[in-house]
Amino acid sequence: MPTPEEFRALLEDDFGVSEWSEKQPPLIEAVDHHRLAEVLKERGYTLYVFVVASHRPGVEGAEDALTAAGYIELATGLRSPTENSQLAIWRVRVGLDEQLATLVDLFAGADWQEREQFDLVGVRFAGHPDPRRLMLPEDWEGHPLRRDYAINTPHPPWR
Amino acid sequence: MGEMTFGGGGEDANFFTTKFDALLGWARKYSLFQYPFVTACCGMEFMAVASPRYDMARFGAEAPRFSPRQADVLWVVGTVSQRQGPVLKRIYEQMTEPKWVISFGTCASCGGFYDNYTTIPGIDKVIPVDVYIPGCPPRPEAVLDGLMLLMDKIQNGNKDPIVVPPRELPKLAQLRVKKEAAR
Ligand code: SF4
Repeated sequence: MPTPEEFRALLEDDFGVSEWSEKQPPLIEAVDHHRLAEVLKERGYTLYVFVVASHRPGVEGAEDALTAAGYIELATGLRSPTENSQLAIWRVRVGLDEQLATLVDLFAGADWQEREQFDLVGVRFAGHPDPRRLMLPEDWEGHPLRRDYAINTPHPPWR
Repeated sequence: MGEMTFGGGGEDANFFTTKFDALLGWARKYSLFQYPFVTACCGMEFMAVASPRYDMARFGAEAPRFSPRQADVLWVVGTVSQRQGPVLKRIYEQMTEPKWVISFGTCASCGGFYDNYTTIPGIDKVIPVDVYIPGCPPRPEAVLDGLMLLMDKIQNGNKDPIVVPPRELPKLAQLRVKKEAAR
């Protein structure tokens, strides 16, 4: 189990993150998502706990391209079952048309959780073995937890 | 079986006449085999009704069958989501005639407070319903009322859907009735 100092060094040197707090877990580049999970797994974080995604709609006139176009922010959590049950959380941002590497090859438990996030928020996981919807009918159009999904969208034949 | 008529002829008469439909209805209404399609919190209340305290066995409806092919009554108990819709329809189609459907609770009857993309606003969008039992969840007494209404329907051959009325009027309505009576 790495000490907090080792963690700080790892995040700063290998992933280029310098700022985080309890409320704002480290934000890493989307390309590093899979690598960080791998490193953490090696260091004892072997339990996949959650992935939650939320859609941030585009802001007009924003300077950086991702904010202007809108993006999806994901937080992933791993737990270490041996050492005090510590939780490691990090965030990534993906553009609406981009794909994020799946973690199913590392953690089998990621399978349905990633399917759920694809179903409701529309995150596309590259390399997912079974990228179907989990909760909504398979012929559903759109992703209802996106902010631009109208609440009164009709859903034939029943709604 | 109100339509039975004794044959007359004093004490030796050990026969009676009735209509065949009435006899069939009488037989059917006391041997309801049920298929519980339980999806949500109403299921707890369903268990309460089936337990000895409320005792559905009094009405000949105590035997649940966990295959729709052996059941007469489909109890839809709880919220039905869009994804479950086709499943529910298929189960209904697998039941043999004659079959009846009881919609247990507000969610099954009209979607309840789930006014969102994922809930079907009432199972009558998917399959025909015979008895609606309102309540979130309905009290066991209301469920027994619903069961008795269904038995009446079976006896009479009545096909219209029916809603279980409240046993007593809500407080405000009681006041209004009182006021009108005093006028
Ligand atoms: S009617 Fe109420 S108790 Fe029944 S399933 Fe719906 S929310 Fe649950």
